[in-house]
Amino acid sequence: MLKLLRKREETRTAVHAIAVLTLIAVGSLAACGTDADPETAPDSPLTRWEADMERYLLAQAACLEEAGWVVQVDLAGRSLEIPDLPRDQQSVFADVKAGCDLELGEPPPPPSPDEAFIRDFYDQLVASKQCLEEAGYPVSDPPSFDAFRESWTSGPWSPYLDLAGTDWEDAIDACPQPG
Amino acid sequence: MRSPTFRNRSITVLIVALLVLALAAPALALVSESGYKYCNGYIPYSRAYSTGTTEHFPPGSGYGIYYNGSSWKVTTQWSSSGDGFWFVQTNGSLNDPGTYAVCSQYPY
Repeated sequence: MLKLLRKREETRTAVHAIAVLTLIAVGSLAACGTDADPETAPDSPLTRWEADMERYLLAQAACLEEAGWVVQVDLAGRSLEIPDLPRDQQSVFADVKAGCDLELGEPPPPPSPDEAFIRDFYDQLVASKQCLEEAGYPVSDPPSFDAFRESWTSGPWSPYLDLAGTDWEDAIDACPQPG
Repeated sequence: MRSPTFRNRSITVLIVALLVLALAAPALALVSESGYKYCNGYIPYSRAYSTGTTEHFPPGSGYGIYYNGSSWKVTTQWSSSGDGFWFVQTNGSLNDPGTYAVCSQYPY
């Protein structure tokens, strides 16, 4: 009888732990979603991810600023910079960022790149090549779409690889990088 | 003889640890490149060609984090002072020839 009670208690504890973790996971996923407004609701997984990422980036910047760091946010580039982070402060910063990551959770997961995504990305890069050349930056010619797709996992062609760092800001302003 | 309370706690801790590991596994798959770049007074920068969440520590000082998602993107992070060790990491894919540090032609 005592064994049976213990077994029940163990099972109850295990179920309780799973339930709590499930609630946390569901809560995290819900937090990644959007407040449903039918008029402004994003209509594709990519646009939904972009909107979620924007919220995440702003929350992350706020968390780091609250800890005293001067943060620059670029929503279009989906990036966050601390330009003056000194070498000897990197480990302190890493600890603060780890705290913010714990508080905010993982960034929203992006949609998986399917055939249509890769095709669309290729077309945008070909358009970028034309834009960059018209802006005065010579870049390499694109491969065929098949060759581009085959090199997807290791790193496909991009005209932005041909840009020198000294041209970078001006070129990106003139022809924003897709993705 | 261990008490039931101890066993219950052990089971709970084990389950929590396994679930946390399972949830965290994708985030732990980081790839990185690093090196040293000395530029003799010229401003260096790090560059990466990557997917995923990409972090830059360029030579000297500075930091940038870029959320590329599933797209391959070139990212560039300028140093604000000094040179030396640089480090780039992502939880996605990193293209080796497209990831490096460079000395620019601009002096500090």
